[in-house]
Amino acid sequence: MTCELLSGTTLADFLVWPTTCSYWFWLIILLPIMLLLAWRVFKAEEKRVGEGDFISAIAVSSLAFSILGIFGTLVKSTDGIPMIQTDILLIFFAIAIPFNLIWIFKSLRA
Amino acid sequence: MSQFRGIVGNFIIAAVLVLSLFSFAIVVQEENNAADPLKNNEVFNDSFNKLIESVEISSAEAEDKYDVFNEEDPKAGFGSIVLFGIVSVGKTFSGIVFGTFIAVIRLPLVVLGIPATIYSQILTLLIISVIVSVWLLYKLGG
Repeated sequence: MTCELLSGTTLADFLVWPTTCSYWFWLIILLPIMLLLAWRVFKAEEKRVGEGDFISAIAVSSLAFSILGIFGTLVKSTDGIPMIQTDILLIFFAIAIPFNLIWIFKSLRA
Repeated sequence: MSQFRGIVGNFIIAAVLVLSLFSFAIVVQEENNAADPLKNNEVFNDSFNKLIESVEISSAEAEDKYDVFNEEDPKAGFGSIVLFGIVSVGKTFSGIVFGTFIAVIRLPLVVLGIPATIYSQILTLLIISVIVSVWLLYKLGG
């Protein structure tokens, strides 16, 4: 794995730089954070209500990370490379959609 | 499992949720000159267009069926009132449910590479739920 040298000195350049080493860098970083957030939401709900719903926790956190990902695509280096690539954003969408569907339909059964 | 109104309502909520997420992405990227806009992606574009089509069809069909229901002349049946318009409503809205499901689930299927067998199983479950709920709609009137 070879990484290119930093092309600029801005914060955007610094944020984009890891993707020159690994295309999936931000996915590898953001996915565990998303799961961690879901776990925190689940635990908070469990403490507040008495029982938690992990599906709804994942649905909410994946939706939040999808929106975060949209903003990530706006950050670009001086070379014009986006911080979060379209494929990675689509993966976040693809995770968010089924979990949100399950969450919506769980309310029907309740 | 058998609430027809619930199934259709939830599918419309799901379609609006996904559509608003997609629209938000497109608008934000367009307004801020994103380097690689999502609307250039083939899979995304296809899913987005199918979803818009599905939502437009559902609103048009809902208006049509409302007119059919309004023009219906109720007939007294055995201990109940017979409305034939409800059959057409059931058929149309079950079509909308499948159209929306296919449009919403398309992106996760392609991107995550979910096997076709899992998709078929979910579709089977959905078909059974819709059949039962439409039958109850005819029988009990909703």
